[in-house]
Amino acid sequence: MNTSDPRHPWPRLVAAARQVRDERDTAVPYGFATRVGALAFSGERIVGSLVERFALRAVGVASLLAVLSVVANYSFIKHSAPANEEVLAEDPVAALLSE
Amino acid sequence: MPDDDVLPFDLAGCLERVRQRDQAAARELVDHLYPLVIRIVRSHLPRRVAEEDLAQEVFLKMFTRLEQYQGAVPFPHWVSRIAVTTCIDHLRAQKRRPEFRWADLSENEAEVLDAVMTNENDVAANDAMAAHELVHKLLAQLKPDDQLVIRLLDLEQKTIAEIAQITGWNGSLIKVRAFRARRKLQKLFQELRKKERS
Repeated sequence: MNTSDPRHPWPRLVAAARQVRDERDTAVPYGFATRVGALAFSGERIVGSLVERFALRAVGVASLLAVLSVVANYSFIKHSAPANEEVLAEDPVAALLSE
Repeated sequence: MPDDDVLPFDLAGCLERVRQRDQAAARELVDHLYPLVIRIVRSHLPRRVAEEDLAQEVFLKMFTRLEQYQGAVPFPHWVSRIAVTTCIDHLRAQKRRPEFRWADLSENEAEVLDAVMTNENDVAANDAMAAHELVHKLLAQLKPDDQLVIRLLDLEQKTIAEIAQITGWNGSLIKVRAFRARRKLQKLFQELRKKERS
């Protein structure tokens, strides 16, 4: 006897099980639609704020410009910096300590 | 207000508004489809998964994939398929299937099972709930895909064409799965008979 035979236990069990009607409420739980609606659009923001979009790029560009300006003016900075001796001579505290 | 004054739900209009990211339309769509989704979720609910969580997952998938909907099938059918595949994914994720033992059955369930195995009478109407529980426990012994096919074929009495539409599987695959599931059920009943005798 196989399961498609009506005398088999399975079809008789299933026939009885089909008589049970699901009487549970199918109304949307309170707040469910609002939550799902909000979640549906929360993952994808098409246009962020201007600050959000450009802040990180602006920091990167500013840092690069700072480094470039130091490199470009390095020789001038090096030559225009006073020698240690001159600094010592002009600095009264250094002069006091060296006595 | 008489019922005739209630306007039918404008699904196409609602979908258009959802595509334009209208949250109110998204809420209306969820309200409209919730009964359909929750019925599917309840009939295929895996163990230890809350029905509301699963319904939420179905709706979020629906919104994520909305751009893929081409209108080839009615929208509720398309959503039904998402709901069914989501349930199947959860069932597949539960690798362990609970063992079916006489000792785990309630007194009423054991009596009904004993009765259907020892005589050829129909189950009494007042034992329908026990039979319902037994059927679900027996189905839980099958592979998720086989469970789904048998549930749709035997419990919901869907045709092969309807199952193909719901699952996206072709007719031959459904028949193979149904055959495999029935063979497993057959074996299960044989084992239960042996255990009962012992």
